[in-house]
Amino acid sequence: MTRAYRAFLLLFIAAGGFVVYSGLRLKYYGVLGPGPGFFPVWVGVLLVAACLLALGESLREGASSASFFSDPASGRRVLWVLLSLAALWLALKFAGFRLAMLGFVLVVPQVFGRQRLGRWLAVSLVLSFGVAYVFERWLGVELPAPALDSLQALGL
Amino acid sequence: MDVLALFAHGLAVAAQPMNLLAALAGCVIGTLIGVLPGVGPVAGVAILLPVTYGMSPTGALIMLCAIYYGTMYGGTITSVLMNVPGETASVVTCIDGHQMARQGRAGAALAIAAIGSTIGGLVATVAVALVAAPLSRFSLLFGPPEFFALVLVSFTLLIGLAGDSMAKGVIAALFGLALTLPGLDPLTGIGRLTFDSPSMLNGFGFVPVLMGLFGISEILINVEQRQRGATTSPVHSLWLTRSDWKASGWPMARGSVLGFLIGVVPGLGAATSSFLSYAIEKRVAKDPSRFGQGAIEGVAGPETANNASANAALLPLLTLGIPGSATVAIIMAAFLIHGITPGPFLFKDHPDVAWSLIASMVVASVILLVLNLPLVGLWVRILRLPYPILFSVIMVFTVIGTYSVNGSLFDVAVMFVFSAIGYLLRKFGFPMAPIALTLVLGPQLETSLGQSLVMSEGNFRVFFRSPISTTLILIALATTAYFVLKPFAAKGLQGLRGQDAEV
Repeated sequence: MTRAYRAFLLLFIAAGGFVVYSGLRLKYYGVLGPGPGFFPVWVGVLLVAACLLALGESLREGASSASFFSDPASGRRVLWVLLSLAALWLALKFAGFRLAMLGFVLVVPQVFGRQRLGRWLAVSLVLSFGVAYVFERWLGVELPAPALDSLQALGL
Repeated sequence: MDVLALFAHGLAVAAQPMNLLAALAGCVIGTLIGVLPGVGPVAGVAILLPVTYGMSPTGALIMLCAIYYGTMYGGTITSVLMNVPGETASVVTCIDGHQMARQGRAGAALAIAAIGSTIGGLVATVAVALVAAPLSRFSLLFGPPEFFALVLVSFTLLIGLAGDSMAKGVIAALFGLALTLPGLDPLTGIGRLTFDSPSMLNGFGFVPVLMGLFGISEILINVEQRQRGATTSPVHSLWLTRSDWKASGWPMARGSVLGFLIGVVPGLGAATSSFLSYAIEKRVAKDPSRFGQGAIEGVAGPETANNASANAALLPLLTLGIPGSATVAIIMAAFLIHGITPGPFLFKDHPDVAWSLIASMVVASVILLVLNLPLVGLWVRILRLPYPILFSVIMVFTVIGTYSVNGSLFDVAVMFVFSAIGYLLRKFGFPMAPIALTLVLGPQLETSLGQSLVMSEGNFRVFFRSPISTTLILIALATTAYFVLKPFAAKGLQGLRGQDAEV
């Protein structure tokens, strides 16, 4: 846990440094007062300083024995869901809301334990095609359409 | 018009069928969200923000506030029946509320919690109505330097009270501020940190960032902890005995006043009020040993205080434009999304919205009382909803909600990225409230700082020219000094005690 925390702080320091760098490339101060670079420079500098302070605090306290995930299975579950979010985004882009959500709801919740196929298929259909129907037809909300022409032609 | 007439007008607007429906729907959805394990008020309001897009600003804000109150009450149900607090303000309720449930008095605990919440909500609303207009008139004296100083005070309060590590509080606040930087500079209109992407010209949207950081990240924590079906205590009679009423009267009165006073201070929050109320009730009790064994005062006081505090937290938002907690910061984002800026001009420019919102607090408090007691059985059944279904429903609605703001998949990507960041922030123990506050107030902080310095041609003494801004800056400095020096003072005292012990 401690190593991950320190790595996270280092990432924040890098991000703060980038904000400072970007701010310095813009006008810092003009005749009328602060320019577009003024605020980013100060926010970045303070962020880096606060992260260094937290890093110092962590080094002073030493490493803790706690691991990042309470058990390997919980880590796998989180990583699975995070990866499936990335896959969902790609699927939304290419396959549209209905198919992307059908796939997501059908597969991802299996991480909580096996679901009964018939019941879960019904839940998945309701939460993808059913929800899309309600939002598009009744509420007039546009949902992501598929980028692929063949899927568009099918009305998906 | 006097306060009573304005309040009556607000009540008439709030009682219009659509607004009444919004309050009713908000209370039901809010309680549902509060009841569901692992979804607190912040995540609940963030996830449901997009539901209000198609509504009128008044209806949308009434609904979101009702959702907020509903989640506060919903959290109590799980505290009493499962010993699992739905949100931090209900942690205290677990102590005696769940003991009552184990003694077969779950119904009485839920009933007194509902009655206390309603009384606390009503008292706080009356106080908000009385104080709001004068405070709003006073805040008209605020120019950019005063506003900058005020935001600074709320930042220092929230960071200092955020948790055990001051550095983490500061990092969280600065992270929220950094998220407001991409896009067009508010004063000059020059693009910055846009990575030459047209999608970034408007910066990160409130909705995807809030939903990711506060909504889905909380779900990821639940995924890690693997939520299972709940085991609940049975609910028998909801009737209170005469001795229950007698024991709860004063705790509810004290809780109402305490909750209001704590609620109006940004950063203190409902959890502080419920903890303090419990401590006070235990101290004034004739037999403090009953606390922890199912004392009804231990439920009545804190539940009254936390609802009074939740209602009072809207006062600084409505009059000064300063959200006092993370949930209220998200409600502030809803104001901005609907084109209304809360703060000094709200009562002048949008009196309908301001007064109907205040009046809707009364309506929502009554709805919660009328609705929740008879529906306890339904909430208990919902508690047993399998988590995979809940997870799927939340994911579907967050994607729709985020996408529908701008019809942009970029926003959905932003939400997913911030879900992962929010998950890591939670895992490493960063307080989330400062992020919400600075994320919402960041642009105003930058604008007021810039405007102040333009007014003074770059002279920082502008912040010490008026007594209001001078006082506020001094308060901010004193607060910072207090929070920075507190750990050193504590260490020093410990050292002295150690020496005394050795002597």
